[in-house]
Amino acid sequence: MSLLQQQTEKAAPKNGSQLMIEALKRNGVKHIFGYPGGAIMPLYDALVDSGLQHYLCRHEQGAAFAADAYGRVTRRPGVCMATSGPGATNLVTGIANAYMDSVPMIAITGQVPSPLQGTDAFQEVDIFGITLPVVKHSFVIRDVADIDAIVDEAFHIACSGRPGPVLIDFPKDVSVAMLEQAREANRWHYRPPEPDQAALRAAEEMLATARRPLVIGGGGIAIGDNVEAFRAFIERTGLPVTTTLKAMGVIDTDQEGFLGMLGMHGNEAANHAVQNCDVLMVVGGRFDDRVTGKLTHFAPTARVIHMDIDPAEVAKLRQPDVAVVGELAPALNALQPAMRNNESWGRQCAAWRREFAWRYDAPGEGIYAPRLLRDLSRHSAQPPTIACDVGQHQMWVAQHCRFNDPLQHLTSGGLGAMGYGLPAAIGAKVAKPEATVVNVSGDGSFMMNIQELATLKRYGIDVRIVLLDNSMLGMVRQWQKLFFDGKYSEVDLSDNPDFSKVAEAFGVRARQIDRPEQVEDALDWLLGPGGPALLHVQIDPEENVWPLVPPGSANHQMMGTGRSKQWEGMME
Amino acid sequence: MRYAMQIQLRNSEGAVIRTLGLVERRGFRIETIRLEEAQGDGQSMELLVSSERSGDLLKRQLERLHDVIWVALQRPAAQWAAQGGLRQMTGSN
Repeated sequence: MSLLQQQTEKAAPKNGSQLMIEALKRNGVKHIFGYPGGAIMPLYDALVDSGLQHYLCRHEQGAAFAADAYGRVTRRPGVCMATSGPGATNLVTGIANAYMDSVPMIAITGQVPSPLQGTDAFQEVDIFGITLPVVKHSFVIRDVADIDAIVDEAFHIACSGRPGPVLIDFPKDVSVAMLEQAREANRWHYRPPEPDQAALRAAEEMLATARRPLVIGGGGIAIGDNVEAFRAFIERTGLPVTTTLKAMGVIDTDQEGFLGMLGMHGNEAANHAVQNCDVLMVVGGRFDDRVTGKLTHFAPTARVIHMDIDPAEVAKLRQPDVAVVGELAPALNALQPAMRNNESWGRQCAAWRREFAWRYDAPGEGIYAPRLLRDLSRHSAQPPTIACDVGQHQMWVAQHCRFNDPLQHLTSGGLGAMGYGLPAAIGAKVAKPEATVVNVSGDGSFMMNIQELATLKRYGIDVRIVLLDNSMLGMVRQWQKLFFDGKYSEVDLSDNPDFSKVAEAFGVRARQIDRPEQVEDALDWLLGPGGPALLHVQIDPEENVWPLVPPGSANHQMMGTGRSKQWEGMME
Repeated sequence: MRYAMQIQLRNSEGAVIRTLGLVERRGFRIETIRLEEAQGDGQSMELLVSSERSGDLLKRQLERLHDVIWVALQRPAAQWAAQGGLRQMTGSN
């Protein structure tokens, strides 16, 4: 490029949309998930030939979920965008999902022109106001001169400390305004607190004197890239470990000493260990009610060490004896407790682990979903990335699939949003094209974002789908059976469409199975060559997720303990 | 328990409503509120709130808002009220 050309280019005036695209690129964005519409048309105009790859999802919620998964997998904000009004409101569930699971995200919404705001203009909603409770922060860009500073700040906020979604509302008049002079802003820079040395020493002391120590790994380990430090800490201390749903894979789930997930649908070994430990170290977890069961009965004999990057999580639900606030990795690396020999506790944990190891010899003629999922995740030496939806299949995935990296497990943990799985799989595959990505879904969840099959087809995104179809809203049915006297209310989905035909209509190859002897061949087919595919698996409508801590009970008071079928026999 | 809080806000759109929304959403009833332009930049907010929940926790939840520069928590609020309440706290008339 000649000097003259360079000068001409530099001098060429730019409008707000062009500046927005430049700012996104400057912040490392390569992919955007979105859906155009009236108020955001100038930005879509600037997108053409910008070098950014845009994925047209077929519903804004799909775009937001895809951006969420992209953010989880890359630990950089996934970007989604939509127009004003309904486009913006359709993003909200995805933004809330990212907020609840502390995922970095940038959501850009078109907005009606400034003079029309507050007049109930066509496709006007106050998306800034609507999303206030579910964003880490939000901006309305009022002046084209502020675009650079706001976008940079938004990315910094989304990623720093405890990550989260940031909304940028972009009025149409600002998006077409020409820039004369960018405004310099005082750049805000957040640094998480340094771990307190006294707290670290107190934690070491507690661990060193513990007789029945236990570690709960939480989602913060994965979100903040603390996996290596966590694994090293576990290796040098030999502490037994359980994890929350969001932390599956922070250590290899097949590793000796791993007790499985804890909580409502956790493994009994994990729940017994928590209820009996004397020192409980919670790393990057937030004592969610699905984890603790009845809070006042949770880990009743334990002194607690709580490590988290967010000071506001300390003592929110459980008062810790020692709080270590700050980035997890440096804190974990600084912890060098002289552990005493807790051999009998180690033996007890190992015994629980053996006693409550999952069994796959369930009677019945149909396909046993937990067994299929176990085989799916062990089909290759390296487990696939599994993006699941919400419900029974989600718990089976956490219980039975192998993970040796937390980024292999994408799940809507805090929000529990059905419909997450398919768009999340799309986001994960775009972020990590080399990974094998499988969406495990249920017939209820799958229908919530089934339109994203068109996105798979359009871009040839190689996501494989396992659809576990029990013709029911299975988890709701299970609860109605257990806690509402078996009075079923609006859970029958026996008039589901033929999912294989639906997939084929979208141009995605499909296969349907309903007998156990078909599973092995079907998994070979699903995970073999050939691009996007859907395996439709008919399972028993009466199957339940066991074990289960009933709401309001302590974690050791599990229903369906040991042998699930035994319990079901008692329920009949 | 009643708490008196002073909250210093950045000069940013939505700072007031974001802050008040958090206070209510986290389980605190707002009994008294006073808001004024801060010297220099931003806004200064004073609240009297009540809740069974911990004021310290609310303080930390407010502190993580990007709009919030600092939070001061005073309690018990009764003692603070006896000293003249909101006006006394800021020294204004």
